[in-house]
Amino acid sequence: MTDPNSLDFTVPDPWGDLPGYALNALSPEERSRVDDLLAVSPEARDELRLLLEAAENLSYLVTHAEPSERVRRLLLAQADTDIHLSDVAREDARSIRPRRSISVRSVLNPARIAYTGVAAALIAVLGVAVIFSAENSRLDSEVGQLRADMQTELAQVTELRSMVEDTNAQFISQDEEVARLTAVNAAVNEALKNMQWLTYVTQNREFRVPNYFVGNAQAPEANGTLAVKNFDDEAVFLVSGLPPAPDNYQYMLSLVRDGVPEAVATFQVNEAGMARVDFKLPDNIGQFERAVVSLEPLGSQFGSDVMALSGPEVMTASESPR
Amino acid sequence: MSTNYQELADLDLLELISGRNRDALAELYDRYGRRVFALSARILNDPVSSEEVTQDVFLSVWRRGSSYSAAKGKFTTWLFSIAHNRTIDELRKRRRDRNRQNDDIDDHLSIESAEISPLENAVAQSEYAKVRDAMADLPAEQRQVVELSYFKGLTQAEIAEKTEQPLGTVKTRMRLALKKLRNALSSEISAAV
Repeated sequence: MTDPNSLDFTVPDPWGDLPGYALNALSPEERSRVDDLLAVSPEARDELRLLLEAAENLSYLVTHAEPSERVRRLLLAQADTDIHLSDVAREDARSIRPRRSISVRSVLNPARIAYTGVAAALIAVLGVAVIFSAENSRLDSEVGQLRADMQTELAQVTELRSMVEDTNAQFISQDEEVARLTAVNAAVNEALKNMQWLTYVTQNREFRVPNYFVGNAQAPEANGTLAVKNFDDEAVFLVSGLPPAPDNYQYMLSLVRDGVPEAVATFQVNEAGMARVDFKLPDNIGQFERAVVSLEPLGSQFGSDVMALSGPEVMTASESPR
Repeated sequence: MSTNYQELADLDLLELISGRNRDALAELYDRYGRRVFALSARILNDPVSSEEVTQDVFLSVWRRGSSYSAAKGKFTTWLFSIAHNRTIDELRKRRRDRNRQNDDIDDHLSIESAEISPLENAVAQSEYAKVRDAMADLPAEQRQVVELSYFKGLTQAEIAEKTEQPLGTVKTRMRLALKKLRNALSSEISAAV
């Protein structure tokens, strides 16, 4: 007996490809050969029917899942559009009626020409007028109908467009939400890193924490910590709970000496209202009487220049955390 | 008197659909839409594309329902043949576009299960269990060619290459698997869910 595995399957074998056909596992060429076989062989069609029924059972092997209501709505809207278009096409076909044929022989009969000449001319004039009038009336009616049809279709197109726009808006809204959550997540991660750093700083003998900051009425949730390195000019300011600065504004950290502020750093807060600001301490730090965070226009300078604060103070130094 | 479409058989609905009855289409969709979507979603693993496929399948029924003939087999066989065809076309188009292969055979769909009635659920679970058992009874190599073709959209030539088996072996396994499935299930599976 021949082993089926030993057969040469490089030779086209449309009958042997029927299971692959039922499972959609054929190349276009193989599929085409099976189609040719099915066109001429009732036995092949019977065999395929049995194989397809077996393949259909595989569709039970899936987890039940629910399409959105939008699928049903769009499907039925499309069906309604098809119905409407076929109605319009039927009406158009009905309005085009076949013309009655004219007998050439009767027209060319010489005996009738003399009697009918004058009458024909009169009838022709009247006929043309009547035909034009009727034709105008029919065209008016058709134009009116077409206009109404167009309005109906326009309404349906508008409705479909509205549904598509709704869907797009939902996707965009979801995308924006994902982007926002991603930003917040990044900000929280950054804050966690900063807090770990702060823990390190406050527990490390090299650093000391001379000041805590609390928000005033403009930023009641704000808290801040200023840590400086012993015997060095490195300092870091960590802040949380500050609202984002308005457009074209920034926050500014200043130290005040003899009532005159000296800006040491500017910064913006992240999505979570947090910021870590590294800066160099000015000379003679012991001479400063207080520290302050204010809201200043973008472009305000800091460094060695002494300046007056122009914006409102949002945080001031405190001896203890809130 | 209004028609109770839920009591009509599939073929009655199809006849009404041929006469442009959109309520019959709605009932047919309610009857099989979820299963078509679930099949497509299982293969594509993409709810949005699967919804497009589902809509296309029922639009085909709406526009070409008159081409169905009971002599060709059960209505559901015809319907799910269209659904599988359309889904595999989409899958292969994606592969061509992205030039990438799907995940391993045993991956699972991350789409939430639908809320279905207890009765529907009981029927579905019953059919699922029958087919699952029938599949489990197949030799592993036969089950593999069925999974790779039906759920992964591989051609028989691609399966031969992937499994490093002769093409003739793959064809034989497909035939044996389908025949065994049919013999195991023919007396048990009902047409409708």
